[in-house]
Amino acid sequence: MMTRIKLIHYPRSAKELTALLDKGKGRVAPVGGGVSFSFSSPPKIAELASLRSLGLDRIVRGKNGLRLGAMVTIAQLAASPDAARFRGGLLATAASRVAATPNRNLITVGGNAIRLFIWSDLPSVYCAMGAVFAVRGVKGMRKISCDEFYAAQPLTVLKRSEFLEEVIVPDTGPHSGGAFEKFSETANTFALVSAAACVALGSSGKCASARLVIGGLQLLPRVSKEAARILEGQVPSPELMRKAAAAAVCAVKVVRDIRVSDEYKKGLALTVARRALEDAFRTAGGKR
Amino acid sequence: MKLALKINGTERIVEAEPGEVLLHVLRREGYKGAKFGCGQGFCGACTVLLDGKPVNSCLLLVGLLEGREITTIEGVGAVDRLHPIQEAYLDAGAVQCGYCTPGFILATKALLDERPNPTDDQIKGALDGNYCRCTGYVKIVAAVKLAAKRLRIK
Repeated sequence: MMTRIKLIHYPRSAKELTALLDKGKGRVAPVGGGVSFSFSSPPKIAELASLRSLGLDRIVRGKNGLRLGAMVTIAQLAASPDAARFRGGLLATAASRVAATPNRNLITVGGNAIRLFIWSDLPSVYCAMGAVFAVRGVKGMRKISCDEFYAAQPLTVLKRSEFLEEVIVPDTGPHSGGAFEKFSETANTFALVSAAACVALGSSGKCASARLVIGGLQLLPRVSKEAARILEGQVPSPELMRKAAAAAVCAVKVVRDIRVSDEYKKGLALTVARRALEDAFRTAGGKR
Repeated sequence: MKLALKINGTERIVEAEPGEVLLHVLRREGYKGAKFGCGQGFCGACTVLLDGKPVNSCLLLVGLLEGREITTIEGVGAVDRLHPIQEAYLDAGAVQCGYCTPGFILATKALLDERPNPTDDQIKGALDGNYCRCTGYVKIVAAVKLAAKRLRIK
């Protein structure tokens, strides 16, 4: 297989990279593992600029959260002790469910976040966890909330000279929990449906916040306002969680999937979303 | 473009288009152990080790690999001097047509380099990116355990 890529740059600094991207006028794209470029590169892109020399291959436990460099591989994230200790190990668990071992050794956090596929697992988890995306361009660094980052295809959200530098996942307070559920035909294949849920309980035992994201139904991950409306301010119960999951599923327009019917996917999503909510509230209540 | 790659411990300068995938370049250079299977990173027939980790060479743009270390099956053993993992695959009857075997051997090597005494689940997890359509997987798991035992004794 041969792509249209004619030249690969190895910039030594972020400044050099952003200048290249700016000067390239859309013909140069930043690249991490390069997986998506190996089988489809947009016609306009003729040159790639590797992020390899920029020191973005680290996971850092910062004061306010966990910072994932764009060049961290999914395998690295799955095996990271810091990720395993952070917010109940939700990121590490979800990363370990992405594809198979050789794929996880290649796919990077940055590429996986930016080049979306309908079955992508981690973008849903980032949204449920309220992650922030640090992007850098010729005018410096800016942080983009997950809602804004995934309001459209992320590539269209970034300016010409910008590249994704880090995904920053914030800490949460006490009595919070999260869960990731995935249903796929085999353990190492694409999700038919997935769900990520992050919740927090108030002192009275009522739900203070609920962020449910259903994956596999549509391209862009979206935090369900419908589920939040049903759960927030209420004492969580199995019935309420079922209603919240149903409301979230109803609000999604399913993208056609040749493997199964829309109805099958919606039915599956109902169960997967309810289970994610149940697990998230269980962990928020102190049960693992 | 000319690229400096370290293949099986030897520095090589190879001529390649930056947009070519590693698998095709390796085969052109005579490393025919890595096979073309699905071309989409599912089957694992093209597995090589990149800095010691198993990866799909059909998904790797060769232009991104300047200075990286690649191990193919040719760097693991030779016809007259098999690696203990290769011997274990033969002795356990884990090889039939052999198309997938180089990928399995390399994935096994990466696993045993990291975990000399893996559990069944760890073996299955490490081989989850390699498909075999002849043997089934029981004998392959047995071969990995046999290789692990022999390598621990050595």
